[in-house]
Amino acid sequence: MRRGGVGAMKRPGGASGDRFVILDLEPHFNNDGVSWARNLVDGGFNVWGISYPAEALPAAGSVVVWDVPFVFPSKDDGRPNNMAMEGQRLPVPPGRYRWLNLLGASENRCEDLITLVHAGGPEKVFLGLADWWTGGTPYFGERVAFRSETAHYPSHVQERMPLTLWFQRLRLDESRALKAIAWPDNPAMHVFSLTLTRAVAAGRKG
Amino acid sequence: MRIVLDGVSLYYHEVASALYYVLGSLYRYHGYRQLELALGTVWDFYFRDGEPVRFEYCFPGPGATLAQNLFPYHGVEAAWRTESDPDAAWRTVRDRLDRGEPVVVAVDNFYLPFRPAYQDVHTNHLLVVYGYDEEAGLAYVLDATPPAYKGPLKLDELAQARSSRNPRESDRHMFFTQTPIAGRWLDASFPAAPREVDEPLLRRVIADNLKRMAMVSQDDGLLLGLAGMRALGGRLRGLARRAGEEGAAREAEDLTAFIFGRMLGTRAFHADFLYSAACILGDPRVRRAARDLEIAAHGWVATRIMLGKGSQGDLADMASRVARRVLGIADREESACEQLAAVVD
Repeated sequence: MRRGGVGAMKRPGGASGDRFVILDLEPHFNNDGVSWARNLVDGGFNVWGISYPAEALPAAGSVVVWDVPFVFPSKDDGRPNNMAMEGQRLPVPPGRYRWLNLLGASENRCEDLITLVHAGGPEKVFLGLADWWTGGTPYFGERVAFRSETAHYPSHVQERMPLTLWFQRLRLDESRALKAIAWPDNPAMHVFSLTLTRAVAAGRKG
Repeated sequence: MRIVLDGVSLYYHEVASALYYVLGSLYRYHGYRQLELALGTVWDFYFRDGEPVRFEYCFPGPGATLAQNLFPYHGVEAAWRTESDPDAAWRTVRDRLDRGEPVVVAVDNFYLPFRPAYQDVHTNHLLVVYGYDEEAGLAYVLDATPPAYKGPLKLDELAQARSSRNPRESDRHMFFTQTPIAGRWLDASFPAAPREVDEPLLRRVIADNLKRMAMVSQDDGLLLGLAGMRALGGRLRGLARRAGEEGAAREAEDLTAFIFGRMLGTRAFHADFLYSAACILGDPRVRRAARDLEIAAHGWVATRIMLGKGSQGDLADMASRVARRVLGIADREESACEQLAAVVD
């Protein structure tokens, strides 16, 4: 497994206090994009049943990517582990945030408008995610979170076919309290984990 | 005899289809550097009922040849030919290689050891042949689609791949099956030097594309321009209503193949064309139109994925959702038209 910028495990918040809010996406998971080599027919990130190798992804639970803590989903057979965007609404602990951080990828390269629901009304902003399949080229400023050496096809493990899970982040308007995030109807775009970075209090650097 | 051409390189684009990869390799070989200015010129909408779309090489349009429909401005000629006799099909390719010209050929991935579909799934695809060694029984081929490959392929495997019936034998044979490969190859010729892309040509391309997008068809079986794109939205709503009927899933697969082969590349490459044109013309309105086309390209990506999933699942739900998206994309492309109309007025 190759990783990009993954540091030692940290407790979310750590010495700087409750700086991060990790959202629980599991109730919204609707796609199984991961399989183990011993059971290749489990999962199917795309319509051809191709999936990320579980062996190349971190264990379920806490993981830090590019200094941001995430909760990585279960890789067990038969369990969904990511949400394809289909108009879901994610409630957020009301508050002011600086960054929306996520682990995700698109089938092909894709972007769409997401809705940030603020106390004063909704705001639509573009979120882009690079292709999972090409092994590599960021397009919207993503960074590599995890990259496999192989791809899991339903009938075989394909060598020389790296798959990428991206780290992407979106700058938020710190002056407005965020209440919820609503995804577009765009199942080409998948999210495995999402963490919000709280706004920095006045007088502090962050 | 052994011929291996130098300077044939892999070209890949994560939104467009393999047709663009092989054309990109050919254009680079013939000296073109800014591929978006060559392959991204045409922006239109053209959909004809009953037109075959289950080919990765398919690019239906009003012209008789691929060059007329996809890259009519650079003096490049390109048309698909078929050759049913495998020996004659190889001789045609070999003759071109002997003249120093790499050749694009259609294949069935089922017979190619370097493809994930090898001995598993039939599906048509495109390769560039850039050399051969007949004593060793090898061709040299280039395939930019991941996992990319450049190297030898047994001549008999290439012959099998080129003469395959490309049958649909299971539910996993989707989108690009049931179209015999038929020894298809691209008969292409390039001018001695790439044509320079200057301001007058850019303005001509923009003006021509505005006419293409404004076209209105009088034929119910032919959808053209922005009006045709919106009519496609209506057809998708109809498909949603007929979702449970025989043939509906195949129709969704056909539309998925059409979007993949015809819509993604044109929008993604024309967005890049307009970004470059905006720099050359120094006009921010062209840049705003480029951004509209880039968003449209990503919207077509979403529709392709949605319709593909719908063809294998809940088509009634998915087709109606895709219909909404197509209408939204049409609005975005109309916005690009409005920006560009001010440029050529």
